[in-house]
Amino acid sequence: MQGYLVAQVGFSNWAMLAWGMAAVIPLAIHLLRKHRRQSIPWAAMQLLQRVIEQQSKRSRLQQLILLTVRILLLALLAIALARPFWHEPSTAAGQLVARPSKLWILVMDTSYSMGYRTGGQSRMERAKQQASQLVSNCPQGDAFALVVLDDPSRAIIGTATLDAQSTLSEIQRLSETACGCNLNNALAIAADIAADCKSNPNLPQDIELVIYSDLGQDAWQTAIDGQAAKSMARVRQLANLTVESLADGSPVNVAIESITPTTHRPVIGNPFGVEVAVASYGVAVKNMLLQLELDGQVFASETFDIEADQKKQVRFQAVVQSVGSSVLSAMIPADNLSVDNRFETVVEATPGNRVLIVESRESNSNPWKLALRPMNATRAADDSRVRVVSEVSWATMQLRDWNVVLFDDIPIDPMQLNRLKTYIESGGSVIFAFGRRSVQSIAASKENLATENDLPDRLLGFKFRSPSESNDWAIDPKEYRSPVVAPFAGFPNAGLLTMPVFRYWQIVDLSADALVDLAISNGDPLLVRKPLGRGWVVSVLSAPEDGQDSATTESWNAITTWPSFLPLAQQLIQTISESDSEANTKQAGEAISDKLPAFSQASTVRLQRPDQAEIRITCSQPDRSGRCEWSYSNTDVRGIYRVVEPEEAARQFAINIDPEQSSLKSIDLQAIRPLLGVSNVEIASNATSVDSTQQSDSIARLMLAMLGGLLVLETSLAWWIGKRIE
Amino acid sequence: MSSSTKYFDPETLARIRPLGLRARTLVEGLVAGLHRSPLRGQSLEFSQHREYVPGDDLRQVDWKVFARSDKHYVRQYEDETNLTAMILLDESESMEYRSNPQGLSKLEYAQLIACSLSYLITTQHDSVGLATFTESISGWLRPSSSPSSLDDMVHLIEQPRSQSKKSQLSQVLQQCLDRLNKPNLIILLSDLFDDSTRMLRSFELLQLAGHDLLVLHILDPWELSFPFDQTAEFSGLESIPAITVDPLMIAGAYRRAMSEFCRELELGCLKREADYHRLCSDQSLAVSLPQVLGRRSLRSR
Repeated sequence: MQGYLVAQVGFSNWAMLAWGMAAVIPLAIHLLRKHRRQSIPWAAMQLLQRVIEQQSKRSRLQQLILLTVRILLLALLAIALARPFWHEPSTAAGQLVARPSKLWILVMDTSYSMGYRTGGQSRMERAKQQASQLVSNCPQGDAFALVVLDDPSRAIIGTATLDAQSTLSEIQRLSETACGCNLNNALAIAADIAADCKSNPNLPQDIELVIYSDLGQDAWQTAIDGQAAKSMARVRQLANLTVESLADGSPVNVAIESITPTTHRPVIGNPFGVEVAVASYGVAVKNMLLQLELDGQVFASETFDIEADQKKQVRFQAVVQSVGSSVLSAMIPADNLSVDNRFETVVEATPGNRVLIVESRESNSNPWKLALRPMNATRAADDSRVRVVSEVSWATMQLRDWNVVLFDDIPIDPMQLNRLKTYIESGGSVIFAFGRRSVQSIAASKENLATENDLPDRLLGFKFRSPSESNDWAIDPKEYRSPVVAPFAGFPNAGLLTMPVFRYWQIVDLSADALVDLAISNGDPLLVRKPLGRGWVVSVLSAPEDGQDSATTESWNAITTWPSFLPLAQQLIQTISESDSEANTKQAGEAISDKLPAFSQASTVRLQRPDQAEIRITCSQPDRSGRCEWSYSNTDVRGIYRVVEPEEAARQFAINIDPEQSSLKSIDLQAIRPLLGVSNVEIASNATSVDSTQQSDSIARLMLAMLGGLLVLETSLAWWIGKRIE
Repeated sequence: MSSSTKYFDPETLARIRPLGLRARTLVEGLVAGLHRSPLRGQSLEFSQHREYVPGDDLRQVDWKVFARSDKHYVRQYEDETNLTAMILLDESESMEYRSNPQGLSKLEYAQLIACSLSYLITTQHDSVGLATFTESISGWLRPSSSPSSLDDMVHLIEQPRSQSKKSQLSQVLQQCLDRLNKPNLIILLSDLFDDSTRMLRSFELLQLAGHDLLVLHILDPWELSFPFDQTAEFSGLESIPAITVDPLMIAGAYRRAMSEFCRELELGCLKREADYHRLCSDQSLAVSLPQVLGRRSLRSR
């Protein structure tokens, strides 16, 4: 940077410099002694005069040297305790001398790892200190822009300003978020600002880009081999680049990486498992307390040991006693990085899954009913959980009372399709078991629907082509990736692979968001699951009928007779009931969104953030089903976001950090130096180009050695002077 | 402390007034332990026989020796002249210094010695005179062997002192030389804070004039030890401007300088055949006076 900046020293722990005040103690004692004087009448004045003439100059010099050594001793001690580090000459906070005006684009990393504290100060505080120092030292005429390196990154001062004060205020307002770090995004914004500046001759054309970051491994690796490399190259063409490392030498951290309940829709009164993943970085801990809270009340705790750089799963059992949304939190004692010491999720407790089975003929759906009947249920409870109705009855029933509606080869009235769509979007799920009758009705409905004749396809996510040939088809479990068949993994003899399927419906134009849980060995889907709003549409392409096709007496399958049917049916219900609840738990920076119920009159949503700030969000225009959607993307604080208004849309979202950065691993500066380009890039840090702490330590060691030397010098001087006095 | 020595403790003596009584108390205690005054400069004792030469006084011929040896020998005696002592008492302001408010100042200590010696000399029928001085001789009492001269001496000592506060010892000794017309024992009582070279030159002049010089160098204990440890303003007692100094910075050098000063005077006196004694004003006179007189006695033999 053309040597405009002068080298300077920084301190890791500024507070310790206060001890430097102790350096005035010897001076104060010296002055006090001089000030306090008594008057003594004396006879041998001539002798005294002679002695003073001979001794005074030398003695004063000796005393002055001793005093200086003592002051230096205390001052050096304070400086050593403050852990000084050497600042590279060309970097941010140097003192400036007369030079052409510059534009300073300050990119401040505000990812959660910047909250890591050492010596009573967080990385973020140090970064703000350095950036403020840079701005304060800049002469008038310099312009500033401010970008936060976050996920997503954003410009705080996107248009260059000459107002240093407002820049300083904005820097001081910054704080670390719960988000990760999107370097590519930040560099792209910085490059745009630089490009704008280049095109405006009224702004300084000499551009300096200073990045204050802890150089998180994941984010900065992208500068080497990922997306950020291109943006980095672009920035280099437009500006001189300085990277200020806030990384500490060997950070230690214990973090909760996840909390996973075995179900996000626990049934009230029924115990369910909760698995908490804990990771330790750089430190082994013993007897660490892990507590589990439900809606703020601790209900379980356990101590655990963990080795350095290891992960551990701790399992709990939980029981929810009331219906509705509850926050499940895991926490460990706060350490240097407190943001990852708590992890939360939202569970929706239900009285139990309620399944409505619509059958075409009486007792035709008994296999479904038996498979889905809860264990140990009484007849009354059985009826309230799983109910079988005829195809005539369901049209007049309230679907909202049921979690899942299963159509067992039921012809669908075209007029009911919209009703089903609304039901699914608001969180219900529908299972279509497609036999010959139902498919024919779908085809018919397409002809009857004048305006929305593609509605069935959009609903299902595919188009029917034709029935397959009759054959003994083999089943492809699709590597058991789907949660519907995942429990069968490792149990090839459990019956899933040998499930008898002779004919099935061949489909085409499968939509991108449709998931194939189970397929025929030739690749044709057999079980398709498609999300729609907050619910699911499941298509079973070979209806598990009671054995025979009534028209042809030809059997399509024997799925219901097979041992795999029961777990498959239950797992299917479980999976489609779960999914919506999982959407309540997200990572910081991810948008949260929902749709208001069609009957809601509200046009705005009031959202309460974890920091107690309340946000009013305007909903979009109603869609074809009359539902308005809202979305909120500024989820930069970890914790629970609550929709408090309107009441009918009340919902909780748990926002957690992305545990990737909990390792606090920083990229090796030497690794990125060549990639950044040596010609116009400076890499600086609290501890120059290597490791700030190591360098800080080495300076502290040097200062301690100097202290030792000074101590010896002081003792020797005091002894020598004392001896001379005697 | 024994009953005899308690009278010599400076603090005890300081409580005794008037001065005459103080001196008598001191000397009576002192002579009780002495068989013979050491201040006899000349004596009537036999010295030696010498062969008779024509012109010798026939009264001095020892006839008993002639009877035994058939040779004429003359008896010789030591000088028979009486002791005449002149005490010079420094009354300059520096002599008023005392480190212990309960003790004697250097001047009081010197006055006590002067009176004691005078009393001692007059009791053995010798003559003693007194000169008090600062810049010049301020009081003069001719040597006399009369017992009443002691009262005159006390009277002179107790007279108010002159305005001048600074001593000019060399000048005073010159004046003494001018006034004394025959050899005397000169007893100098002073802190000797003057130019040492000129002072020693004056001693030499006294010696050349046939005077016997006994220098009693009187110092306060603090003048020797310089025991101060806090910054202080030292105000001069002889119109010397005050000096502010950190005593810790110069204590060592001061003590060395004081020691050199005393050593220089001692060597200078020795070279000029003068007796030199350093006395500390807190020192018991029961110790210091016998020491002075004892050494004097040895020297006169």
